[in-house]
Amino acid sequence: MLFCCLRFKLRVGLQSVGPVRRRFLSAESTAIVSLTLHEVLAKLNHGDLSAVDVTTACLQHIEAQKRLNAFITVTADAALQQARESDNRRKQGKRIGRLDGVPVAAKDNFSTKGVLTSCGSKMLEEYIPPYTATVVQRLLDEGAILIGKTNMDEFALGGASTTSYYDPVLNPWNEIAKFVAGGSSGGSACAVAAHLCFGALGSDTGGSVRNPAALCGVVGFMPCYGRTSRHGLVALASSLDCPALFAKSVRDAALLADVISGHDPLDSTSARRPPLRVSRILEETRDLAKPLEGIKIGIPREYYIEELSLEYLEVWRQAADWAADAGAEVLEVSLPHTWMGLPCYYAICNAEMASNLAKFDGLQYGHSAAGVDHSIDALYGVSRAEGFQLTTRNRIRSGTLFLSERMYGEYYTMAAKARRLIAQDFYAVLGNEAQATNRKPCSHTSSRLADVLLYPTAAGPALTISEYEHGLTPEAIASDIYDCPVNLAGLPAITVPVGFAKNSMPLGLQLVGCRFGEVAMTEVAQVIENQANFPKLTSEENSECNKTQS
Amino acid sequence: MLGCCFRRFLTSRSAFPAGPTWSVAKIIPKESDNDGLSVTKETVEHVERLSLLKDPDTKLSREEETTRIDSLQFFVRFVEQLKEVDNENVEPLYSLWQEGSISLVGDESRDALPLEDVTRNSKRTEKGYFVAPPPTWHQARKEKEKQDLDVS
Repeated sequence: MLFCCLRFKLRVGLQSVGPVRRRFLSAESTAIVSLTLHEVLAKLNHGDLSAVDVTTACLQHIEAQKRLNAFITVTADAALQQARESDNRRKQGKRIGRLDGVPVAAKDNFSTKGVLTSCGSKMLEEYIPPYTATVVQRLLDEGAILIGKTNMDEFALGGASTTSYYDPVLNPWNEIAKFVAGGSSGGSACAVAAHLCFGALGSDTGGSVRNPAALCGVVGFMPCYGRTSRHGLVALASSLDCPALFAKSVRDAALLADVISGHDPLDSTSARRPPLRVSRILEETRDLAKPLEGIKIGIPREYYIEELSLEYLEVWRQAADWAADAGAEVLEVSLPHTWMGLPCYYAICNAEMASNLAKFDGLQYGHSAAGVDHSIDALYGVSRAEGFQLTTRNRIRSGTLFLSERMYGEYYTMAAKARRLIAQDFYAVLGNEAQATNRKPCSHTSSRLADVLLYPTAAGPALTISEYEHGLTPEAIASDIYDCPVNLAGLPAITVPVGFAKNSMPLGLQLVGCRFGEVAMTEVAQVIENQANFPKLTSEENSECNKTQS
Repeated sequence: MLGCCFRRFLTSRSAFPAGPTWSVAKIIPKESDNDGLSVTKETVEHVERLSLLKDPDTKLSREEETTRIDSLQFFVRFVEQLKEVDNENVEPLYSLWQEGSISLVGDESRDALPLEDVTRNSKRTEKGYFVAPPPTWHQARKEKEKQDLDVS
């Protein structure tokens, strides 16, 4: 499938969608984009809306909110064509996909055939892949409409989406004060929070979906490592990367996860497991009086750190109470090697990343230094110096050092041993893996202390760009502690927005399941979501914010 | 109702520690930490040769050298803390699949991408080949040959 690619900065293509009012869009258009994925699907299936209506509304809002820098590429023409095809399928009574007619977005490190895939970097600013990533294709095969590619930290390195070659992503809850959207999948989180699409793909290596989901007040769903195919995802750390997603609700996230998950023979690290069927389980348990009866929720004591904000402590305790009211048993557990998560993550991620980014040498694809023809080393060196930003180069250098012969045994192997200890902590509490993936959680056995862990997704709410600096401040590093260890153990996690901090920015809590234990964590997430009743961002709020600042 | 409130009170009290259990600030390296590996100018030059992130013929300025040393030292100090843990009998975990079975594909040819798709994104192609400049040793050899000719 060949798409037309339109750069976001070109207004010419977007004029084809009709007149756009910059700040105050029609109530009808706003009402459409503010729906959840399930709500808009219901209207599409009922004939109340057409896919072209929905796509047009999204495109108008994308144009009106381009100050957020959520998108690198908006595929307006291709999206409208897909929308027309979706409408035709419904008119002609053909097979309708599970997401037919719903606009979604993909982080710009997922390969999309014929559409720019830049990874937020000058290195790939002209790269057009010849194939489409499996998880993107699975969305398209179910009739979803790809509305664009979202902004991100360069090569998915970062915790605030501030290192993109295409300018930082701004948090839609307060972009005037330039709050960060979290990272590295900030563009996707922002797009869903600001109602620019109904779901979006991201990649989570050390929190890169869960962190921006918490900071932008949306649901972030990370299946366990191997559940979603990495074929077509530009690799950062091959043993940690996990294609994941953003949605406006737990129910929406479950549907998207069901669609994108499942074994892929094109990815040798893809688990030999069928796709998830979390949606069905959620439907069955939604209306139960005590939906969490029989579930044990662990509160890991090591995640109560000094740097945790008091607001987060409050919502964490509140969520534990909600879970108990729904029938769960809540107990303290211990993950004693938690502190090792960061040093271990930096060693392994930087090392794997240095190896994966070695392919960008100015020869086969990507930025190539002009006029450097005298030696291949010079071509590689200058192309990479010009194509990568400083933070990326610093991480590559440290990863190269850890992989060098003189240090491999001492540092990289040591980090791999630390990884074993961190993973064993989780397995000792949660059990090794879920035996069955598509039914209620296994009954409690003596080898498992808890079915799900509950703790904050970050140490504090979003900071401004100037407060965040380069992400090596104690506040930023503290947030990494909440996300990295889970990736090292390959576990699934889901984050739900639960409240607001004093600076009016969202707070999110995450549920972590055992290996292949997405069902239990999602059931708990649904209960917390219902109790929290977190409000959606409205475009009126956005406009009000603009008025007070202008 | 009272029972419900009391149970909620018990939940928040018993499942949570009384206070913070540790501080992340303790694991953030400080410049004054002098234990462990010291990153030197030689280390930086070695890493630059391996990672090829700059023109190999260009020397680093003093400022660039210092910045690179500081950055490398930060990550080294961070990771070095793992040495505090007794891990002698711990098997490294490189991949989550290393103890399970990974699905392999048979050794048979499959549909491949057309050549023009593969080469389309390169600026250095000729008749379906990627064209690279000569290796660095090639230039050095040519210069030596020229020197030998001049001498003879």
